This record gives sequence, structure tokens and C-alpha cells, in this order.
Amino acid sequence: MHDETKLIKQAVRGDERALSELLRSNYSFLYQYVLKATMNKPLAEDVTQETMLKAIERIAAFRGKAKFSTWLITIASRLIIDRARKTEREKKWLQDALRAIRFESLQRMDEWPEALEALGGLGSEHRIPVLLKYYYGYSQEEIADMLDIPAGTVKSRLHHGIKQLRKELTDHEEEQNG
Amino acid sequence: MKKNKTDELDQQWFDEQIGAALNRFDAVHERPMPDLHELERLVQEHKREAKRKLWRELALFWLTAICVLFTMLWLLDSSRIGFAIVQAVLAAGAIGFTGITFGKRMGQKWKS
Repeated sequence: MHDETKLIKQAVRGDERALSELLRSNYSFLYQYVLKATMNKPLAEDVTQETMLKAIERIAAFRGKAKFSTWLITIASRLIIDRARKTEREKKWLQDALRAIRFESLQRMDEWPEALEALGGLGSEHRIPVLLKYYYGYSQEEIADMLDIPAGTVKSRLHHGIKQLRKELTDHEEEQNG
Repeated sequence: MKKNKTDELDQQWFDEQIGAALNRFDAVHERPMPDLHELERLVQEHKREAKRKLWRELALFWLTAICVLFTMLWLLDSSRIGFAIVQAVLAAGAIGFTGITFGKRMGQKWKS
């Protein structure tokens, strides 16, 4: 942690090696977050790359109030939401991407849990707050800051997201039992 | 108090039903750390490119500003009424543009 603080200070002052080390140590974490938030491998690779480029451009403005990883996932989340707005009409492409990630995970995990299917079924405007709150442990206020939306909107998206997940999983359970 | 309880219950439900699947998903999609030298090269190149873009935009801005200034001075010298009309049209355009941009942004906030 102390090392990261030192690296951040150096990177903000323009040290390229320090910034490279920070990006390197957060790369896998960032990619995994983006992959879960998009459930789309090509898009996740693209957004991860773009996030790193944006971080390089904006590092001088980083104040260090939040962790470096939090700053990266804030940039990534906003990029994902922007892309989702632009590709709203490309639903078929998103479905194909979800099928591809399902297939790849199935090969590696030997199963595709219904929990991931349900999460993949959420739109990114609901999936991102749900992941940030319940998987990464951020508060509603922090998520509101990260996504630049009112705290009330975060609350309603979390409520809707969890309700949708519960419904999907309950329906699946009932299907299996009945 | 009730809100905290609901939050806790939702968190517990999420950990039990979804958390474990996500941990496994993370584990199978873990990426190896990229090479430090390659990253350093990327950082250097992108910083250079960003600086070049900034200078290009700055030059374009100054060039446009100078053109506008000279056109206005020429117009002021040749026709004061023409100058006043152009000023009024530009002011109206700027107000309209700001209004539309601000309105769109507010609309997006309300929708979200």
C-alpha cells in the first residue's frame, strides 16, 4: 500500500516507469472487472485498453483521494456506459458476445452457473452498480460519485438489479424442481 | 435501521447465490501481467501522441481566433451596422447552443 502511494506520487509527477508499474499491477484486476461488467470479451479487451490510455492522459489530474484501482474502474465504468448507450441497437451482437463468453467459461469451468447467466441478462446500467456494491463493496455514495449519477438513482438501480437477479434464479430453481 | 437490515440481507443473498460463481469466473479469466517494458513504451508513445494532439488543437484554436478577430476588425471598419448584426446573430446562436446542450444534459440526468 505504501509502495502504491509512492508510485502514485511519482506517476503524477510524470515518472513513466512508476505509471507503467501501477498499470501493470492493476491490469488483471481491471480486465476482470470490465469482463464481468460487460460479459463481452472483445469489448472488455477494448475498454481495458482505452481505460489505460485515458489513465495515461489524465494521471497528472489524479489527486489520490481514492485508490488507483478505484480510479481505473471509475474510468472503465463510464466508458462501458457510454458504449452501451451507443450500441443499444446492436443487441444481437451483445447476445453473440454473451454466448461466446459462456462457451469459453464453460470450457474452463466445466459449467456455466445460472448466477452468471442471470447477471449476464442484466443491462450494464444495473449490472455495474450491483457488481460495485455487492462484489467490490463500495457504498451507494461512492458508486454515485464513480458513475456521476445521483445516489437515489444508484439505490433504485441496485433495488431493480437485485430483484431481477432473485427472479431469474427463483424461476430457474422452480423450472428444475417442477 | 430497516434499510441497513435490507442491505445486509441483500449482501448475504448475493454472496451466497452469486459471489462464489463470480470468484470462479474471475479465477478462470485471470490475465498474466503484461511486460513492464512494453507498458513503458505504450506510456511514452501515448504521452507523446497526446502532447502532439494538444499542440495541434492549440494551433488550430489560435489560427481560428486570429481569423475571427481580423474578420471582425475588417467588418467594423467597413460597416458598423453589419458588425452589429453579426454580433447579435452570434450572441443568439451562442445562447441557443448553450440552451440546447444544457437541456440535453439535464434530460439525460432525469432519464437516469
